[in-house]
Amino acid sequence: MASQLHMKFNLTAREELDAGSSQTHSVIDSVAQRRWGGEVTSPYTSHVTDGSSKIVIHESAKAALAAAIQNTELHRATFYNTNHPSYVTRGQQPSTTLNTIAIECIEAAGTGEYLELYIEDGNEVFLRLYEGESVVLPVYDPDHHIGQIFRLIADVADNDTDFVRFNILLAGT
Amino acid sequence: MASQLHMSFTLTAREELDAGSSQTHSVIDSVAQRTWGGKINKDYTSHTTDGSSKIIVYENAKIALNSLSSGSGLDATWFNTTHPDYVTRGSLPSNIYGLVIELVELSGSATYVRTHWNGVEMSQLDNVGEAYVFPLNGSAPSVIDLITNYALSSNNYALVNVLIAGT
Repeated sequence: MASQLHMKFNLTAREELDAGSSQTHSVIDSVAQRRWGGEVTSPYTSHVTDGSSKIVIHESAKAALAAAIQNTELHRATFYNTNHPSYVTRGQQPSTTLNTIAIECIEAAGTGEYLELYIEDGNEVFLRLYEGESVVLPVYDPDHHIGQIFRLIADVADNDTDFVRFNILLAGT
Repeated sequence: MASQLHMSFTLTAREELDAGSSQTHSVIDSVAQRTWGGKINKDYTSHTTDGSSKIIVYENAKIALNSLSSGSGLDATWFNTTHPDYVTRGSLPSNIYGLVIELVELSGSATYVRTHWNGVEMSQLDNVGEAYVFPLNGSAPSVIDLITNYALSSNNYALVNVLIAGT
């Protein structure tokens, strides 16, 4: 059996109903009517697969830049700074396909508030993460862009006092 | 308290180690070292918020198109309602903060459902029972396209449940 990435996703739309006396009933939205989501499983190259992991993690990295321009793509080593004392990295960047991205926003310091992920041209924000928020994205990568089209920035460029710190995992083949 | 979309995500990279005798040990990857992921909450407009829901579901909708076009966007004719179990409720938001796609059935020559964002191939569902959630930042419905690999016919189609919520 191949090594695999097991991803799970859930969404609950929670409607707040006025129960009077400043109380609320928290119920599942009347349109959604249930919890939504499920699972996706993708193969990846682990160390066991062929002795050369195609999975990399950076923990306690800082977002280096505040504009989705050059050097913010996820296949580069320039979208993050390693100067936090807790910074750790392990593994190797996928070299053929990128199958998943996990991003955990762990600290917003000073005037830093959030991370933003852009796709391709950098003109429109795909998603935004505030401190304590995390996401997992299943990626379809037939053109072998291995992260070139994803750009990660913060609302402030790292200057030691103002920064946004995150953990990131990239895995594929 | 505002009505909210509560979204959660987990990723476990599972490495299979040879234990001999045709047995395997299934362990967390030595690079990942833990389960990754977490939560995001986003406000949305429910019926309670202002009497006009900005959340919509389509259940048992057939994907209508097999290539990107002006009709494959979530604001357009991406789906077909001919399945007998088709159901819809709610109203489409202008700004999407939560998107769910569940693959219910692949029939005939249809083998996947693919999501494009701003024209870029983002994610693909290849197996019945798979699903994903995207926590978006207010994307317009026209930015997101859903397609399959086979032009819709009575025998060849991909059946999905889709939830779109926002403001």
